[in-house]
Amino acid sequence: MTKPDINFVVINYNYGDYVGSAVDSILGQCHENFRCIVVDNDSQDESRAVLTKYENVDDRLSVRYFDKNMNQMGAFLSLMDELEGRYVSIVDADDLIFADYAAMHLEAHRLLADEVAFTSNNVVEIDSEGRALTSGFDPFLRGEADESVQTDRCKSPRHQRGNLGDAASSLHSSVTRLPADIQGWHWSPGTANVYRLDLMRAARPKTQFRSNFPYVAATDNYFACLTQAIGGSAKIALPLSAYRLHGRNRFSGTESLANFRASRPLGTWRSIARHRDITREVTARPVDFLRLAPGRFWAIMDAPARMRGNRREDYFENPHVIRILVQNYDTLTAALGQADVDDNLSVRMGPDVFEAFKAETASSRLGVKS
Amino acid sequence: MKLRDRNLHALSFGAVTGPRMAIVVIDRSAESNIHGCLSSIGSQDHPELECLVLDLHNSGRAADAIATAFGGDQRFRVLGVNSEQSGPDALIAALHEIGSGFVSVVDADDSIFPGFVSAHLQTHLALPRNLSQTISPVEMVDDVARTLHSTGSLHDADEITDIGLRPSNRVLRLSTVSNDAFEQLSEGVALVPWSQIRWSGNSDHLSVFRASLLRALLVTPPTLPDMDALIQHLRLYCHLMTRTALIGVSMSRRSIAGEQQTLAQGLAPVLSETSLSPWEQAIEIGHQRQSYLLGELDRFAWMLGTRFWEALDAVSAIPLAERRNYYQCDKVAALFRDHAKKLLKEFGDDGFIDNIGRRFDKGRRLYIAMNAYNDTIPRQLMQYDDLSASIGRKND
Repeated sequence: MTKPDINFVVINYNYGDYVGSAVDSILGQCHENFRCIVVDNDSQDESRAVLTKYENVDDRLSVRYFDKNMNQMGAFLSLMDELEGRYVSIVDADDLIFADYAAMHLEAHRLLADEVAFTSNNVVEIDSEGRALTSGFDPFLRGEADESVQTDRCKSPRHQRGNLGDAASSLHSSVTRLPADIQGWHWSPGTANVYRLDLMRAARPKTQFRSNFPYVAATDNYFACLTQAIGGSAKIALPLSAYRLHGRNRFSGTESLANFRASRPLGTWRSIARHRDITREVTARPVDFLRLAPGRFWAIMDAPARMRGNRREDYFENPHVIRILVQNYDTLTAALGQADVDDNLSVRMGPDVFEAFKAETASSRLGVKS
Repeated sequence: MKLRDRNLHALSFGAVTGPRMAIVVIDRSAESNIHGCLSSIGSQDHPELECLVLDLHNSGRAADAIATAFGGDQRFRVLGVNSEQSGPDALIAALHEIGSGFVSVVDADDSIFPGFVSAHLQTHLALPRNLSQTISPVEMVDDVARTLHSTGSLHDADEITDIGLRPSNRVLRLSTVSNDAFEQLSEGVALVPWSQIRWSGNSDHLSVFRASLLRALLVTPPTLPDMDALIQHLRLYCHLMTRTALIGVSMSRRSIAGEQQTLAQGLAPVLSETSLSPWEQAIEIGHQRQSYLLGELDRFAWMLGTRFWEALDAVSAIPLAERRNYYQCDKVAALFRDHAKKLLKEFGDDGFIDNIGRRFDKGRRLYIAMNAYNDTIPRQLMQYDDLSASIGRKND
């Protein structure tokens, strides 16, 4: 089989009532060169009965069954190395993508002069029955584009745009690029993002900080935040997928509304914890990130703070973050030099907190030695 | 497969369908225009709707009207109200019965124009930001259909900002809204600013709410005297959460008889019989409203974040010029003192100091802060200058 242009990964847990619709929407893509892996995370509902019907129906589709719930990130990490081709999209099992999703995203990636880490489309939020609630995710609508893409920057040969037909002109005027250092969350949730697979592999959490325990995380909280800082992203201001709100969503209770926190507190606290995982990963292997994005190490370190729209100091003064930095201080200084690390951390923590941090680092070393 | 246009129903293989609106009709009396009201709902060009009639007088007129005019139309049903249910409780029960993403509450003397549902839904789907409420002016007519009050006065107010809709090709388009109609809607849509809340107490605009936010607000509803007060509460709080979009064209009509004309001038205030002066009444109403918001601080602070303080100011309904006087009232200071610990816990030292410092004079700040801090009251709190402390400048 030829390498796919795009991979789809569907990770299902107890969405037996919706996963069939998600898989059908992938199989119906007008861009046909894709591969799809569907994983069932040990669901306890009718999911397996639904997914059984998709086995052996299409060479591009494979279905796997896990015997324990690896959560979304854990399941994704377990099969990441099998994926081929350049792009990947993680499709939530309770969502669906429109027929031109793959074609539009692939064309958008090609349109951009500098390749971005991921593209994100606007979504239609729908209720449990599929009725439209919005035609845009509010954080996506809120963000202002910094740069418009001009059609004369398109690199694609004409024949590769054949699948889009008349929709191509809508796409060309709807793609805007977000620079790597943008503040806040500007993208749609989950089933709207098409990532460069190579950057995801390079940035993925490798550090075993939760041994023998499934990684509890949504993939976007980690990958969108981190790969944005590495390579920036682009928004496609057209609805290309549907985000379903059905009352069992982990993160959201209502559709997205302006200036209103629709997220559930538990979902938000989980997101904040996942952002600290970025700090843990980046400080555990700084050499990798120095190579991946030369000159941008500290901009990458600032990514979790930028994502929340908080002051940088609020993030770096957090005791959990300080603990991570204490643990990895020696690794950081070995890679960047002590002067660089101390200068940058003191700016971020403030003098008082930095002084306490240094003392704690020294104590920690003594503790290790004794 | 080439795609010639972005028909989202087709692109989603039929999985995504258009929005649905619920219309709750309050039928208050045996003399209402229920037939005309239901007929106008049945004539909507957007077919995805449901209609619940709250038959407050249990006369059966609504059920008869549905059977004769819409026999078998499953979109219409009547909810009986038992005598032990309060008006607000009956309305809340109805709001929990609906299965639509959008809802409007109309009076049985209202009639909505054929494009009412389409216009409001299309506006909701195409606004630059997702808001919880759209409103449109109500044309008031007398019993011989003479127009009494066809208002665009809110739209003419200085603070109202025309915002337009997003580009047509980037939003869900309803088939019942033509390109020309979409452009007209876009030209007439305006944003009502946070501080402009007086319209929420008037009956000369009709609201279309997002049902999910109503459910969130009704988790712990306030104690209110009647349905109209509840509707006013929902209009106000939806506005405080996300602001409101105004469609600048009348989309409905209300027929009012002579003695009911006073209702067109504004809903009854929360206080009914009173010997208080107007200023004292204003303080009492502001205190009641802030008391509710502070009593639900955990919920509303989560939803609103730091805008909670703006919402406190706005919900008081005290004009900006009078707000400093309002916050110097002992009763108001006592209210904030009662909730000081929670305010400090929620907003931290910086948020507490800034917001209390900007509203209250030094004496009252100390009085409030003593209930928040166990030992030392931060010096910064006392350093706000009484003369320069100015609420409202930052908010508006």
